Amino acid sequence: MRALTRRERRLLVALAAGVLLFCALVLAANRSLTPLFQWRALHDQLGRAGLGIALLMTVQAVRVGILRKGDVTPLFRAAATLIVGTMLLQALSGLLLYERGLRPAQDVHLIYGMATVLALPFFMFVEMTARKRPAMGSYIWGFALLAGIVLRSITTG
Amino acid sequence: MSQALASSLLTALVSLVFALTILRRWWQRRRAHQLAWGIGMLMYFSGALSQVVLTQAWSPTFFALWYWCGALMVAPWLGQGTIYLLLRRGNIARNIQMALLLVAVMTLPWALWFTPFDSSAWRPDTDLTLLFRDIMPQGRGTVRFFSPVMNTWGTIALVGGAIWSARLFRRKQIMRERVYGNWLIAIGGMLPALGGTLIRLNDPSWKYTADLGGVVLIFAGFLLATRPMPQEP
Repeated sequence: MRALTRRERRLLVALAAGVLLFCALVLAANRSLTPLFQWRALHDQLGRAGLGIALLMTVQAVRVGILRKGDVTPLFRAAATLIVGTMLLQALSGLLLYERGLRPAQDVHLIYGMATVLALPFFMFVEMTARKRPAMGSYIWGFALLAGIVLRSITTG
Repeated sequence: MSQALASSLLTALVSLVFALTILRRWWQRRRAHQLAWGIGMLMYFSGALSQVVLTQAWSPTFFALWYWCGALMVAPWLGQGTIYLLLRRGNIARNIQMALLLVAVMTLPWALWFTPFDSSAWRPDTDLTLLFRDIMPQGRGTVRFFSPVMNTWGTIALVGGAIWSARLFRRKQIMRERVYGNWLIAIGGMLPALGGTLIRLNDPSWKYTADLGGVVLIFAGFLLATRPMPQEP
């Protein structure tokens, strides 16, 4: 697969900056709260954003993979990696909350939290090692499952 | 020796021999379907072994393993082997494999650490299928939600795949052993599912016999279907 073009690299950096800006805005909007509850607000909002992004990416994967019969682009893969990173950040913030004594409504929230981090890498592995191309199907599976898992995380958290 | 203990021991023994047979073939040929079946049979063995332990003593770990292996993992792993055989093109089989792995990784710690068990409902030398609803009541926080999904999916893949293969070989009038072998696999795959359905209909008396009959028939079918063809003179 070709490397990222300069424009794509800039777009990716902008996306990463967008995630950081989102986190900063959530923390700033909740500055009246104690730091622990600011983290909790960040954890909640990242979860909701994760659900929206997973649904959007599912639609995009269906559009590219099924309607256009296209393959995964380097930008799409990089964006998926960025989402894995965001989910990891989300899980780490949850662990921090757990360690500080803020527990989820149901214990299984921890399982779903772990699964949000694992869901995409499993399917990215299939796509990256696929001998048959196009392989966008892996991302349709991955993002659809991720959306379901994030939804269950939100309802059990 | 109680009937529960005897049939569990026999099931464990047959499934272990079967698992080792398939995994040895996988070691020699490295085919994905053989690995999936081997893992499925190891799960079958672990479930039966946990049953043996649980007829003698209460152990939350072995109960969680019994449920995770027997009720959640056996059918989809065996079905996954068939999916690998039937869907050779594209990445569909590998994607389904990843979904299965994800569910396996999620449900194991869930069953082991997050599902509440009522140990007072356990009794020695008693069929676990009579007890498991009291030990692990349906409701918030149990993995029982996954059981019908995983078993339906796995059984459809295993039994449907075997029937499809049997019909294919029969239509082409070739490899008669494979026709019979696949029918045996289909019947063997249906038996544990039938036992599970009867539990839901409040008749758990056939479950252990169905598990034993299932593994024996699948093993026989596998040996028949994979028998080397005689060389042409």
